[in-house]
Amino acid sequence: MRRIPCLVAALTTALTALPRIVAAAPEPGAPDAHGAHEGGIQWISPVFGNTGKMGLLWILINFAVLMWLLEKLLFSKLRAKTAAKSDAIRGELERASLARQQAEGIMTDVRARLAKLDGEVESILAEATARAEADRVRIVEAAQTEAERIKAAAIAAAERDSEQRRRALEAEIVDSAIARAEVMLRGRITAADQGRMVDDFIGQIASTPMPGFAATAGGPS
Amino acid sequence: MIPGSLARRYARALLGLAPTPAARDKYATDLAALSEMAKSTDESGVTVLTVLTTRRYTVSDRKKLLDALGRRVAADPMVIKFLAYAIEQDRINGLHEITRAFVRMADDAAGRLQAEVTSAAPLGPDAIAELQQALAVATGKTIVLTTKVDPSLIGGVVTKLGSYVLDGSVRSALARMREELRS
Repeated sequence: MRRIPCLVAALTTALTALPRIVAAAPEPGAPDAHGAHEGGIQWISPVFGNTGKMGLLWILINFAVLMWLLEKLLFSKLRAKTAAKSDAIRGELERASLARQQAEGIMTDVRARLAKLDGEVESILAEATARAEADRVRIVEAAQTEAERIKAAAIAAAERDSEQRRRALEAEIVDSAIARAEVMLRGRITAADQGRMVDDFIGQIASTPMPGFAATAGGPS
Repeated sequence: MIPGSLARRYARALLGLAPTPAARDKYATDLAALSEMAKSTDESGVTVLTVLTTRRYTVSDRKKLLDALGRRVAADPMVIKFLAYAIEQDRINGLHEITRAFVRMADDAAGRLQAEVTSAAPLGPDAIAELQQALAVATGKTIVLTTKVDPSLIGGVVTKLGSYVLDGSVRSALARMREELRS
């Protein structure tokens, strides 16, 4: 299909040029401006009596053959390459168009978001402020709780320590008092006191039942 | 040394060999004397009981030694025979435990009870008699009393009846007071 315009162009060129060539050619039999040279168009060079001119038909045939060869060897490849380039450019254009559409969509979206950005910023700020306030309250409460716990532990430890010291002091006082009493008793207990204590002990034995010493007499089993 | 249960078994066996209470008491006295003698040592510090126990000496030699010891304390032949049997059975190393168990069983059988009275100052005969009588009434047994003096008691009396302790000392009273004041 692409060859037809080429052929048409070639033929058109040939047909356009032909009348001029014919018009420019001298009439047969008319005297040549340069001498007795026989003018006019020779369609076919005569086999005999050749004047050295090539016939127009041969020229046209040569031209057609040349065009055919050019078509086969050059024009077809050029056209194919041009068509490929055209296809590539068309594809690029389509992609560019698609990208443009997408970019326009993104741009529209961005514009819309930008329009809402101030509101979002305000919202984010408010949310961040609320969270920070909540965190602050929570941290303060935790710190207060921890402080209370530490305080209670410190009070308990102090009370324990105080109680231990009090007990140690009491024990020391008791030990001192008992030691003092022991010294005093050692010096003051008389034989009469010892006799009374033995009598009291005997009285306690008499009044204390000893069930563990029930008669166990008996021979070997 | 042998386990207490084994010592009681041997003691019970000897108790069964005693025909009369008097013989039983004689056995107890002999065993106690032989046990005390077995604690004595020679110049190198070896006890008689060690010699009776050591297998380096023959059984007949050890029996001869036992006979000699028995003659020295005029022990009853039955006691010597019993201890010879213990040598044969390789149980003579439990002589002290067997003696303690036998004395306790003999006391039980006779209705006696060993009592050890410790006082801060020596007790008079009247006090000892009263104490013995009171213990006899409280336990229902004849009390065999031994006395000791321990000034660290400060005052009062401590009486041991076997593993039972009656503590009437000032030292214990002070200790109890200390614990009560501390608690």
